[in-house]
Amino acid sequence: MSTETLLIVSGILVSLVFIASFYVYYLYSTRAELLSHVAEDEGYSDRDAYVRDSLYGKPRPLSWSILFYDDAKSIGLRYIFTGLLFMFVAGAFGVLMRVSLTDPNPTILTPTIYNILLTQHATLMIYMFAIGMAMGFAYYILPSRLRLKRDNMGHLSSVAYWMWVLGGSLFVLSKSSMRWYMYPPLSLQLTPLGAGSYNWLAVMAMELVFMGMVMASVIVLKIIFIDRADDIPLSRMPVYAWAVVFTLIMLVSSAPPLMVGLGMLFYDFFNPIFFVTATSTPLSFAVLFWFWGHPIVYIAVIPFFGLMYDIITRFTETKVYSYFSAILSLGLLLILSELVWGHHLLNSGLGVDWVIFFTTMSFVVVIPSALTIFNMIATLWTAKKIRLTTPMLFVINAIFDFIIGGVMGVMLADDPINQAVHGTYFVTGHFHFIFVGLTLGVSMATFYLLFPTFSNGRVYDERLARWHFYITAVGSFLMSFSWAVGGFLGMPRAVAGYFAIFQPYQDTAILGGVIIGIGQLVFLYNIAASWSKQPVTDPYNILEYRTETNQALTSESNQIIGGGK
Amino acid sequence: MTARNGGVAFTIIVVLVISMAFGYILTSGTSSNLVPPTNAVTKHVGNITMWADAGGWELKQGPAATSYDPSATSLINQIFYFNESTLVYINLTEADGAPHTFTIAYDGANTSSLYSSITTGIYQNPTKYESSNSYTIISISQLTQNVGHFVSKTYPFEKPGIYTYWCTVHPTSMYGLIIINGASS
Repeated sequence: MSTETLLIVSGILVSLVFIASFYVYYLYSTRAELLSHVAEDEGYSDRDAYVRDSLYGKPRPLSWSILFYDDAKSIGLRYIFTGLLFMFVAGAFGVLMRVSLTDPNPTILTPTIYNILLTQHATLMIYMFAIGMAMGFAYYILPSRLRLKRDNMGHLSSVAYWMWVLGGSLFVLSKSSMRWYMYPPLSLQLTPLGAGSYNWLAVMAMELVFMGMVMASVIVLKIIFIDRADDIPLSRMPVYAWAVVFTLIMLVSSAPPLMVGLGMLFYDFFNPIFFVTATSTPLSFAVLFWFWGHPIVYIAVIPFFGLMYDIITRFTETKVYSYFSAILSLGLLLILSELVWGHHLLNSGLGVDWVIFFTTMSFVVVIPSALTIFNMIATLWTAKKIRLTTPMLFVINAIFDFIIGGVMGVMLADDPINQAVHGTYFVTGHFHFIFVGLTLGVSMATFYLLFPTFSNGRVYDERLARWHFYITAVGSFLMSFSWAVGGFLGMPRAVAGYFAIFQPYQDTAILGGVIIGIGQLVFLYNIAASWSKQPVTDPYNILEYRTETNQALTSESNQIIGGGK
Repeated sequence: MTARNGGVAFTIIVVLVISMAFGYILTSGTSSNLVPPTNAVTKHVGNITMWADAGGWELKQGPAATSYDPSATSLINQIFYFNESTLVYINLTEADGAPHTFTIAYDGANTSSLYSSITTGIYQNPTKYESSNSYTIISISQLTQNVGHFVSKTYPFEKPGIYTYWCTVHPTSMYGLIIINGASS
């Protein structure tokens, strides 16, 4: 066979394959179109929900099918369980880092591996766990809470999810050790002692994660603003929906600077013209990063504020003390948190004018945070009774931890104190109080609340769940508090060893870290054991289907019965 | 996975993924076998002083040679000879404003057959260009793209044998040999 014949034959074969795949796509799209009409006639907001319901029955059991159906509930479950999976992986990395610090000199792990674990723990916890849980709960709770009219972007949500997962997995595979800041010139050094030989893969992976997050955010914003039922005006949307709106606006508006920065960083691998030449400065990347990096820490907190309001009102059977100030404070957090990113760079030579500006703005941002917390406390204060169930315990602990972590954050934003304690474990203690207490705690609370729905009517073991709560709360406090004290005395963070005078603080933190790890194992055992039992309850849950209307009614009737207060 | 054992399946997935991640990270392939040991003991001191030019490494007098002479092509991609356990100072000066690295790999014991096979073609042993077998002593970001920028780093050559040095951006034009003799004279 001559070369020409070979080319002609292979060309014809390739064309046939293309024609066949186009025909298959045509069959698929016509049927999908038909199914969409059927689903619309049946009163479904999206096609895949109709298909799932007609195949599996109305109370949907959790199965592998969530990976293939693109309705909002399936995508929400995907995000939630992927987030939990990455939480366990990154948490195991964290416990390993703690254990390796039993000796002041790095003996158990080499510093290189410690740096890899440090980078992976931070990045996976923030981008995969916190964002994953926030997105997952938004996809799972909001469509039924807002009674969607239609949801025609399920396939795009699915694409966004897969990009996000692919990004997270590639980040683990890259074995990057560039910290979650990705600062050049470290991130440009493709050596084992620099940022890792495959760090270019980590930069690409982060770009994928960002594209997935931004796509999903735009779709959820579209669901909330355009697709919600006509009888739910913006002024009566649940606080949780507002919290998600503010979070996602923040995400969409502050992600682009870092996405551009990552693109420039990737170009710098081949031709370094942006950040490491004599006429440019790595500080410009730090500015691009923190312009996104400060909003991300609010993105990991604000949706959970919304969930806290929901859980508190659920277990005190009252309504939010002040709906208006709840929305106002979350909205102020959106605006003000975009103006405080410079407090991460107080020591980088921004100049005293900018330092004063950012310190002042960091104090101003206390006002909406305190409004939120006082609003929650007032809701608890005015409630007739408080049912101390496991989710409620997690939420009360979250308030407690947020106050400590928040006050530490204000101390850090004060420039004179920042000069002394930046780069110490005080910073680590500050954000672990908030992330473990609030982000992890409220995720667990919401997971427990939704567990009967996920598992089609099974209930979790209340005793084990309480053990999970107490172990996590005690371990988190031990770890973060000993970091705070040791850090205030000058214990440097993010290094594989420490000076022996800090031994007591490190030992307490190791104890706390291992205790947190044991707590999450209790949680895992609880899920596995409870899931094997027979269903005993109704999979209906109040977080998903409650509306502001019936919530207000219950609370009014409560007030009439209780004589009003 | 049915609804009944969903939790068990999730637990198994979690345990599997954690152990895979641990196995992957802890058996770290990122460490190059050429990373210099922190406690390296060297007996001698040597110098490599070159201009980094995309046309080839050019041996000059380093920063002392203030003028750059493009016509001097006779000393391109020089072969350097050092004794065993020599601390070599690598002094590079940027010549053309293009990005360059100074990367080395260990090829093997100093035999004439290996020497001739290496000098006849650079791509004979492709595995040495993998990151685990090579080590970048001076990276792109350390040697900036400003003509005349001078960077000096040290590397302890402990093991005798033939090493290749090259620039990862211009591997076909900028490469040469460093030969470490076994006899420590």
